[in-house]
Amino acid sequence: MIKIFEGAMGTSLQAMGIADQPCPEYASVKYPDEVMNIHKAYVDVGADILECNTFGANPLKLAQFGLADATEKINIAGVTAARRAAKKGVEIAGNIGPSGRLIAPLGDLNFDEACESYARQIKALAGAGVDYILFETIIDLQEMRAGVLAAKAMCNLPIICQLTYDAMGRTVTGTDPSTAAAVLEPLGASIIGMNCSLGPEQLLPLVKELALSTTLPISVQPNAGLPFIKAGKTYFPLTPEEMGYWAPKLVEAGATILGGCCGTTPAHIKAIKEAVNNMNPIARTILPTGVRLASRSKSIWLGKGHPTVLIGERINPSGRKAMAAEIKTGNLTSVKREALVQVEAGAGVLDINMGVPGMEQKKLMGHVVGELAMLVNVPFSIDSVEPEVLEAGLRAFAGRALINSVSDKPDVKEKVFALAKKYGAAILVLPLGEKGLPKTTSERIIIAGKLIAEGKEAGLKDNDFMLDPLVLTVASDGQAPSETLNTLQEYGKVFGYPTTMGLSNVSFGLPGREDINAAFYALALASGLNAPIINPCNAKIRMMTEATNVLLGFDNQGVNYSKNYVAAKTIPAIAVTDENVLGALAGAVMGGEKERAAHLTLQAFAEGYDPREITAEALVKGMNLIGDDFGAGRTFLPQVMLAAEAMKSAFDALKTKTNVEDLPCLGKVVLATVKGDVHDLGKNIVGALLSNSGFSVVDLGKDVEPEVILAAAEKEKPDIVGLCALMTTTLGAMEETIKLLQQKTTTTIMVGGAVLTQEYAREIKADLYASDGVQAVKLAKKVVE
Amino acid sequence: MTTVGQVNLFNPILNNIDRTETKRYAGMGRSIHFPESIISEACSIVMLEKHIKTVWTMYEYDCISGCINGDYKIASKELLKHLSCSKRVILMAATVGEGVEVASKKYFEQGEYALGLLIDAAATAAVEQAANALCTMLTAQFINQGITLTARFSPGYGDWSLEEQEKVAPLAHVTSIGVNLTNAKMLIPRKSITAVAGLKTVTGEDNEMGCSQCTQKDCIMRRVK
Repeated sequence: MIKIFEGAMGTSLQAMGIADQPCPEYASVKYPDEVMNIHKAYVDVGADILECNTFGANPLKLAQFGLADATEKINIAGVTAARRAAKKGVEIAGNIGPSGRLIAPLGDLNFDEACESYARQIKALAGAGVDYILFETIIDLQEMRAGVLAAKAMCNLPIICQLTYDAMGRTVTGTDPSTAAAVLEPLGASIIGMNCSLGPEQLLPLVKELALSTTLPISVQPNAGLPFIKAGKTYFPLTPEEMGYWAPKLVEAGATILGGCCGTTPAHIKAIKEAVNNMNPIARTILPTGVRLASRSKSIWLGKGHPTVLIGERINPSGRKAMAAEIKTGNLTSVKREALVQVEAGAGVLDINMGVPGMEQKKLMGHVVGELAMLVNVPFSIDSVEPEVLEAGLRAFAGRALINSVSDKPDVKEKVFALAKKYGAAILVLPLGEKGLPKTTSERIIIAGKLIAEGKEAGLKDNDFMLDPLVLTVASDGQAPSETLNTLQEYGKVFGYPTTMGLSNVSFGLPGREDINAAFYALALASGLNAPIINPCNAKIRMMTEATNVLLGFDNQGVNYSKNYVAAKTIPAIAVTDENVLGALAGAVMGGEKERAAHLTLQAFAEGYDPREITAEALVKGMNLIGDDFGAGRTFLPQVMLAAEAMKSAFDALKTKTNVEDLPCLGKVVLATVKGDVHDLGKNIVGALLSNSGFSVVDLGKDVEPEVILAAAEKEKPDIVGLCALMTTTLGAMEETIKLLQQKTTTTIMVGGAVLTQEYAREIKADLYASDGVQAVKLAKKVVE
Repeated sequence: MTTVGQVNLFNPILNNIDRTETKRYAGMGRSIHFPESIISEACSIVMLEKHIKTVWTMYEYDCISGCINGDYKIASKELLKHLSCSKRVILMAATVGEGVEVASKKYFEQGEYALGLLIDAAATAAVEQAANALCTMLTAQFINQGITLTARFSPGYGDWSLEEQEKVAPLAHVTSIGVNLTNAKMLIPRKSITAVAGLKTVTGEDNEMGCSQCTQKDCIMRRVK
């Protein structure tokens, strides 16, 4: 039988004019009969589950109306109103909406604070006798996690989790229905669904997606279409008949509980009830086997029948002194870089270990997990031997993480299993016994079996476990790798769970470790390894993973493999055919080929060319040519800057062979961004181009007082003073500077910057106006000619 | 339901920097012969150095007098026209923080001019992405009330003077995300923006005191014929 929720409460209260005194939830206290009557109208048309008027009755939200202290009173009043309206057999759901603030790092609300706020509301609702805890209209998966954790802590009631999706099929914070299922089902949701924002037609594909992603019942509460406002009133366009038309389709897609959100009325609920009255929930497709991990916005499967997933191992300061030292100073740059680089290289999961000696690992783990989750979108494996460090990571991660790991260690394993259950995490089982490393496959199978049984005792399920076969060093035991491979095969036969292992240990103490690792990797994949913990940046490993995916049928006809293979090939630099070394050097400058420019400069010098000739006939010529191209729109600023880099590298090479004084100097330029303006990129570009075109440049920096510029002009006696202003608000300072310079010096003044025009430059009496850096060089050359 | 005057913080997740926009901001939208590796490096550096924060506040807006929150009168004709269907507006600010600028400067000083330039461009792309993410979030938040968001409009665009930053920045509560205004009305960190967006009905229909009801028949902002 399909169960039916009631329809909209908020819009009904609005229609009665009692929604803002001061908030909709307070109507249960102030107007209990009116609220009861709204419920009753839904009972009369056949609603099976009523939703209390407690959507915003969490203390955080109520605080906005100065009502946090009335949390209990408002929730109890909400339940009472629904209870009074309910007839026999009608159930009551305690309705809980968003707190109104986003949890860090998306917002400023602390995760624990969110849990506490929800816990207080849930305690009141459960105490007042609701049958379900219903979270709805939640847009942030982390907020839903806080709510579910609070609900599990406060009561044993079934938990309904409804997120709100946009037209693209994601919550505003990026979660899709199948990722929501991957996280919420193991976390302890009883029913998963969606409500609000979209009408039934738009929700239909999302229900289909969800049905393929969870074994739990699915609830759907669409809006009566997208609202519009006419003459100050809000209208929802979908009629009850139309809602009745879509209801059976939602059931056919997998929904088992239907209702209505904004704009729905008793007439809509009646239409739904009548349309699905004789329907039963459909039999759903069985989910794939394996373990599913998820980040906030992405879920992946690991196990037999799924492509190999690389678990990036490099975020681990053990044995990496530089990384550990950097973390100690509070700098996470190399940790972040490792995350980005590994994901770029194809890691599907990132292992995070924060074993930095002398640091409070618990706090560090929570912080790093939060920071990295803002950077990359893959699921994490939380790696620690300390249960409290694991918990900090699991709490901070808005997804379903893997716990790395649990072994047969009394007093610790119980805590780790409890954490996996509490946070809905998957768990990596390491068959390490109390007596140390088990040598044989059969010993490992026994320990793994024991740990799995204990995990299940703690409430874990088959799709929560991953197994590690243990990798020992071949140099110390020649049979160790065979035993590992054998264990992998036996794991497949005995348990069928996904397997993982860190394999680089195998080659310890031998030369050519990369080759041994790669060979072992191939053998392990053939023996049933699903998700190696590995350095994904290793080219051999990457190539082998891609090749294996082709051979195992995960990359149809090798399409991805071929694409990446071609992309990996280096594209050779454009060949310069000039016979003359100076011509080739000019070409290298133009092409921005730094190393080649330096090499050719030295070659030209060795061939007997004078430094002045090299500068004039090759370097400056190359810059002039690219400057011409820029002026003609054939090339762009970054290419000009690359050419300047090549020019600099050629100059630097030349300076190793000759005195700087022997190099030609076209003239001297003093540069500054004017007072009040903190932009200096544009000025720096001009400086780089001038100095690499043979000018001597004195850069005074940004936000420079007119008096300072004057002092520099008097001291340096430059051919040109270049002034830069990027904002309309600092043009006044430019005019002031020009006035001062012209009163006291005769130097040529060149101006430029985004907001300047030729006309304005003339108005403020500048001698020259350069529209860009290339033109600045051309004009400067004319001045000194 | 959003409260007028409430300061709301939102730190959007950016999993990548838009390369196409980065190239455009670096002034080479159409260029093809440029090492992709430098663009990738610039985007990676911005990914590492960014500290993205946004903040937004809803205010009452009087489209007849052009007054936000009863005290800031808009002088820009283009903005007045842009907000002519709105009764409420969102004042927002976004920043990518100081780190990107330090990085850009560092590479430039090392003689890696193109990389320094592209980091600056990628940081611009990032702050725009952050502001877009905020607007997407707000659109989703208000759609359910039959209300949509106009495009955002920043001081310095069109005829809305940059001088107005002085009034706009406090209304946008820029300091709550670590952004300050210099005496020259510039936002620091430099890769920061403020903007206003109007809230209007989905149908675009004027509500209550809209143009069709307005007695100023020769108003330049008038939408009805």
